[in-house]
Amino acid sequence: MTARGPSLPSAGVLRRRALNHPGFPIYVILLITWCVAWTVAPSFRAPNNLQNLLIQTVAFALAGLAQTFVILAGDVDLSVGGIISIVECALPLIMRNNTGSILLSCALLLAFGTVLGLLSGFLVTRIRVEPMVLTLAINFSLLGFALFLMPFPDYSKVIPKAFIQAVTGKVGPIQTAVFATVAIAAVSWYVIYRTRFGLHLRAIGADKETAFRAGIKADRIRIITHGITGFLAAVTGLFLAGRMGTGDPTAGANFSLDSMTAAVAGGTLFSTGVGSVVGTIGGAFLIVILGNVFNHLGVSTFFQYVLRGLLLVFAVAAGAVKKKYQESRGS
Amino acid sequence: MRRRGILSRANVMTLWLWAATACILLVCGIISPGFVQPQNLLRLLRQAVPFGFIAIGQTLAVLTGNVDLSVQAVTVFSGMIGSTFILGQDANLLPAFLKVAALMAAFGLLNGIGITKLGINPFVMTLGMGMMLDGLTMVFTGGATKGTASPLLKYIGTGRLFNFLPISIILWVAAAVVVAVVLHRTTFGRKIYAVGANKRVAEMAGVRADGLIITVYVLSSLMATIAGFVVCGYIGTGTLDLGDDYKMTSMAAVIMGGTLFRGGVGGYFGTASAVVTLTVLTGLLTILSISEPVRRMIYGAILLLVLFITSRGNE
Repeated sequence: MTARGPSLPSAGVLRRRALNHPGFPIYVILLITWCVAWTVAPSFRAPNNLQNLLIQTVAFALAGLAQTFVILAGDVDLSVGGIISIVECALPLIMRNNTGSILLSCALLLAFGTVLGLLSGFLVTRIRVEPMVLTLAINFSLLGFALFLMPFPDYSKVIPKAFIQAVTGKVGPIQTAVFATVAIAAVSWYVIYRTRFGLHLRAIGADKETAFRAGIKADRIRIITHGITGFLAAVTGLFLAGRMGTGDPTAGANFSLDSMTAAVAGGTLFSTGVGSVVGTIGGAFLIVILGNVFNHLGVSTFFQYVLRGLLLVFAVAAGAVKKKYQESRGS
Repeated sequence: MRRRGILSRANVMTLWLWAATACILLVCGIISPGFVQPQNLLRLLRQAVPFGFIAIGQTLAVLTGNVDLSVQAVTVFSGMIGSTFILGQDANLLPAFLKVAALMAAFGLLNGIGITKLGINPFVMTLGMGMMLDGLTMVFTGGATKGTASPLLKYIGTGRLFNFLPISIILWVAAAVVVAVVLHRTTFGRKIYAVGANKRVAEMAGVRADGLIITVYVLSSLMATIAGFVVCGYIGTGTLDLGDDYKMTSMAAVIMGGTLFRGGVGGYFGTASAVVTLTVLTGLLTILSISEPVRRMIYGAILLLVLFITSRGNE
């Protein structure tokens, strides 16, 4: 403890860093959306609405984090929705009402999700086709499997109360799941930006060929990254099952795209290795806030799908344009 | 070193497909002799017509090195909105079709512009636009079917020429011939292959690649619109559930038919053959009373397998 830590950067440096941070734009958009929502929808201001927003963000944030990992590594994983659906549908079938069974079921499903992710990763590295197509095909099969497990939301298969309480419980006014998500985001940030694995992962995302030539075991890291994605998708599935009280074979399907929306709106760019965990959380929050505002304004719930589709296209378009601009400026 | 003529890659794939179709039919015939009667086979094939039309657009998109995953949403939208415009009147049929087709052409235009001019990944663009269109379908209809198909549209969907040959199959075959001629005998077709093989080289040779890709997306949306109207005529009204996920199966059919995913190689004959094979396979799975979830898993596995096989030779 003799050496002093590095001195804090000056205010100017901090400001420049914040402005150049990939997650910066999403928070500006969030702030604007928040102000507009506050003005136009009186019921938006209700104190319990904030709680509502937070708990709804959890699933999008977790799925978005799952997607952030693979996008940073230069891939994409559309099987997130399939894994979420399978975990959601399998949980009520295997979990019994005692502590041992609850813990074992959770561990089993998390392991299963991880294995499915690793499998996707293995296929993505072995079959030289765009990961988008491969994982879409995998997702198709996984959703079929979820439907096979539980053809419709089955309320006779009850999830143990203890598990539901663990998921929906509160510490003070805020749900434990929100804290858990923040913790998972913090760990993800640490893994991506403060470990050798994370550095390699981003290097592969920026330029696979160069990373490979620099001696990075690209395939192995990509497979592990898909495994992490599968694990986080399984966590999302557990949370959703606990929140809804039963499985739903179709509820998870949209997360394949919504997770991408959260990640890309949060400033994570395709095949650049540039992205942001904090931004992804912001992206997830934006999806929820927009839906929430339209709810409060009494717009048809179906309109949310229109909105999410538009949001995805806009976010990706913004990313693509930004990349083009940077490339033209760089060359 | 592309092999041309009879033994070209696509033709070999197509031969395999027809062999597979024959095998599946044989198994079907052994399990249930009534299945392989001409009448029943035509009935089965008639159900494949919308799939065939969707696969036309998908083939064009993949040939240019892109993909259109919004076809499912366009088909559902056209059927649902089409039937609310038709309201059972023949007089309304043409105006309804023109209106919906114009809308969907604009939708395809947006897809194409986003992909070419803004450089958005075609998967994300078409998936996102599809999600938006699915939402619009629900907003406009509230999730309930309104209106019915007119007698003429029903005749197109279910009628038979000489009490034997379904009209919709004739339409499909006619469309397939047109597509084949356009692909192999017109400059537009040659340009599609050129752009798919190497966009930059095609541009240097004077092909307006972006405009061509945009046109292909418009065509793809129009084909899916026709598919939506055929479904509407077949069922008698619009439907939200087409029974299959055509964004997946159309992609599977295109790739099984020997069209390479990177573009530039392939054609519609192979795709159409794959449509027949997949339809017969669905028939077999139905006889074996295999449920829809398991069928989906099997389709996904087939697509993965085909991707695996076709990706090996071209690294």
